[in-house]
Amino acid sequence: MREHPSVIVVGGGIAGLTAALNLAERGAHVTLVERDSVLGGNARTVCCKAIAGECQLCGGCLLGERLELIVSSPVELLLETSVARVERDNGGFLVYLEGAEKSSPLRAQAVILATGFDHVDAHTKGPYGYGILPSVTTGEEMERKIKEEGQGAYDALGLHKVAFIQCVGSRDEHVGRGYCSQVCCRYALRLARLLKARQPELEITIFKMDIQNSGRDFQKTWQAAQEEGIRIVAGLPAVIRRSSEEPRRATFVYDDILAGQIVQEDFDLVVLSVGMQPRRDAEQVAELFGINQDRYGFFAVGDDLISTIVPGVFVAGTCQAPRSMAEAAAHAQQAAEACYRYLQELAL
Amino acid sequence: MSQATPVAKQVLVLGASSEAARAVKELLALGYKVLWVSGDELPSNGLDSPALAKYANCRLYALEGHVGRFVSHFLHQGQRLALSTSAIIVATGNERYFPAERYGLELSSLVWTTSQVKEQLKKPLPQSVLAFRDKRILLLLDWSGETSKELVSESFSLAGELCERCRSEVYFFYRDLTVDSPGWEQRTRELRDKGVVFCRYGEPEVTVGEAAVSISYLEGTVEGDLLVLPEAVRPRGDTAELAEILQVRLGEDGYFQELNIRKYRAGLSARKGIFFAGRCHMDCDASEAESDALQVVAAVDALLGQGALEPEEVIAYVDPSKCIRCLTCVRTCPHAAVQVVEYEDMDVVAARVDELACWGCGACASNCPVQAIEMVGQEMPAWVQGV
Ligand SMILES: Cc1cc2nc3c(=O)[nH]c(=O)nc-3n(C[C@H](O)[C@H](O)[C@H](O)COP(=O)(O)OP(=O)(O)OC[C@H]3O[C@@H](n4cnc5c(N)ncnc54)[C@H](O)[C@@H]3O)c2cc1C
Ligand code: SF4
Ligand code: SF4
Ligand code: SF4
Ligand code: SF4
Repeated sequence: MREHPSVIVVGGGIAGLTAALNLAERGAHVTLVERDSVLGGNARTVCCKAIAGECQLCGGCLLGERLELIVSSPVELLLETSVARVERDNGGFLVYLEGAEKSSPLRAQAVILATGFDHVDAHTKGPYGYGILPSVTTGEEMERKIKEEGQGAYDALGLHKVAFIQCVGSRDEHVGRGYCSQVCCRYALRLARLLKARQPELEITIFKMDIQNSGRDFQKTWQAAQEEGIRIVAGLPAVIRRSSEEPRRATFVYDDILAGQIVQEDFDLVVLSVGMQPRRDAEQVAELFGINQDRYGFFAVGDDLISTIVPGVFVAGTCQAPRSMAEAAAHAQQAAEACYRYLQELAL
Repeated sequence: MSQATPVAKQVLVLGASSEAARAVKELLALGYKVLWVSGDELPSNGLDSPALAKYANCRLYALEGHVGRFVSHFLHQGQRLALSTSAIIVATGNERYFPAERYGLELSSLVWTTSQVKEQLKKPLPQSVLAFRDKRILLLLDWSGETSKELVSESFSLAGELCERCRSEVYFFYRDLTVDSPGWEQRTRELRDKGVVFCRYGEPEVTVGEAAVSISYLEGTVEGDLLVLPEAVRPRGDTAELAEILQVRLGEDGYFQELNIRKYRAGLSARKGIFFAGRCHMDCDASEAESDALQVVAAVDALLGQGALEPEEVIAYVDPSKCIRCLTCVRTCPHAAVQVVEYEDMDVVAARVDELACWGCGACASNCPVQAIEMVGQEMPAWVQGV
């Protein structure tokens, strides 16, 4: 291998940090380009869901250690910086940056794209009344509120009945998102358990198509939730309205498929379990590097789920497909491995 | 102390799974010397290299040493075998079984497991295809309430193959459709396009008749020619024994357990230098298990690739003259980094922390009844310098 091959990692979320750390530990010269003024990406708003100190293994604290490691690593960090132009250069890449302290372009033999995802905008699901009905919120907001205000954020709101509605904006080919967002069943169940543990009187119902109850850790959560009295209903509402009796509440009609009944019910709080979508600027980034997007707009890859059509450009984490933090980190480490092997072959 | 200890780029891979094979291949490509050992036969998949030594039908009975210098002891064809490696990848996979009790159904000419169907499809033409040609096949998932991604994935593949190769009419019964892996939702959509009928059940009722099977569910009754039931997976029978020898943790479910969540790196065991890959520690299908092997190899190479190991910034040190050999620290160390040894130059027997294996968590120091353990940084305390 060339003495110190150079790699550029674009995006400083959990995936970008993981890939950068692995390659730096293996002797590559890594530059991490992050357009935000802080590292961590979307993981920064994931709250801790431990119940009375007992960890629910949500993965939320995976970020902390990586941030500590990255600042003491030789990875060169460029914050508030993004990629403006890319040229091919002698088998490698010449990357011009925008907003960088550095004015001269960076030379690199390989690039890892780890630009992550955007939250699905719940406004796009008009019939659910998000932004209009005060009692309709999203999983993203709930995570953020608990992260900022602490685990008691929902204790004193006088809630009696809470509904979680799964798959909002995911698994829906009609809105161009015919994929499962992977994390919303897991975070919804864990948030529900957290709320229930703090307010045992709370009646919580989760409305779902299919619960993604696979995975070692999650099967436990799933069973515990049911034992604690969290109700699971197979069926999703079509429309959410203001309750006529109590305007602060929301009401909707749903078809309880397994019970074979059509029911109308009121709730104090309706949490829309929103998932992930490709970054709104994914197309520009794809164009800069000459790679493709898949039918949904995520970066297109080969069978290994890592390589793009451009040799030397790899993708890591949720910019390729929805993933949890642990899965995004594992995927990034695979990308680092593929990238390292690519550099090794270049050197021969 | 902060000096780097040179280590050999030599790794032990345990297990005969496809993820083990993938790890071996990747390590060889990175220039490692690999010792590939399994309790069973090893797959003969053309992996041969002067840097690879293979030992099939071997039983691990003891492990000595720590990261950088593990010595694994095996019984191999009646002989004792000791192998030195710097790191260990455990990729022993899982075990399959048919959960007859949970299903409450016997296998018969009308009731097959997914594996039986797979075997039949591997037979030469035309028998392979004729067994299912134009038949109506009822694939019943999730019955037991336990979902294994490996079996869901195989059931998807099987449903597709039956439709395409055998023109079978496939009904796919499920309670919750597992789609939380990249690309799986797309797979189910492609199956629908091929003609697979997906049916959600609440509590299905299965009747096995003389010549036909039927399933009653929410929306009615479907009769078919063959009922196919997925098998299930569980930890291999020797997992607990292996965990004890390796001094790594098992989860409540009997699979290997990773390092705690705060220092979580996928595949990293509580013990430095010991890694888990694939189905012995996660719920995944074969291709995900192989990807997992790749990321574990990346972690191994990050550890050993520079040919030297350094201790963590803060680690524990035992003052051998204070230690009363109560073994508290040996028991409390979550990372198996402490042992009681003879300090030859001081002529005492006392606890000793392996400086490379120690994570610096402090559990030992806070539990020692005579305060013989101190957490030290780069600077060594005076009493250590004398050792
Ligand atoms: C509501 C919700 C709840 C969740 N809860 C959990 C949970 O409980 N547990 C869990 O494990 N996971 C959870 N997740 C998933 C978790 O957020 C993701 O797995 C994780 O954040 C993905 O990390 P990433 O690095 O792939 O992407 P991101 O976190 O999106 O990071 C991408 C980074 O790249 C930067 N970037 C983007 N484009 C550019 C560019 N052009 N140039 C430079 N930089 C760029 C961004 O600023 C960002 O810092 C949740 C997700 C959602 C939507
Ligand atoms: S894994 Fe989740 S619940 Fe557990 S401590 Fe971390 S953030 Fe909290
Ligand atoms: S994780 Fe659950 S809620 Fe999210 S898209 Fe998948 S099935 Fe729907
Ligand atoms: S500090 Fe003590 S308990 Fe913690 S890893 Fe080191 S030896 Fe083990
Ligand atoms: S706990 Fe303290 S006294 Fe007991 S064996 Fe360990 S170092 Fe010695």
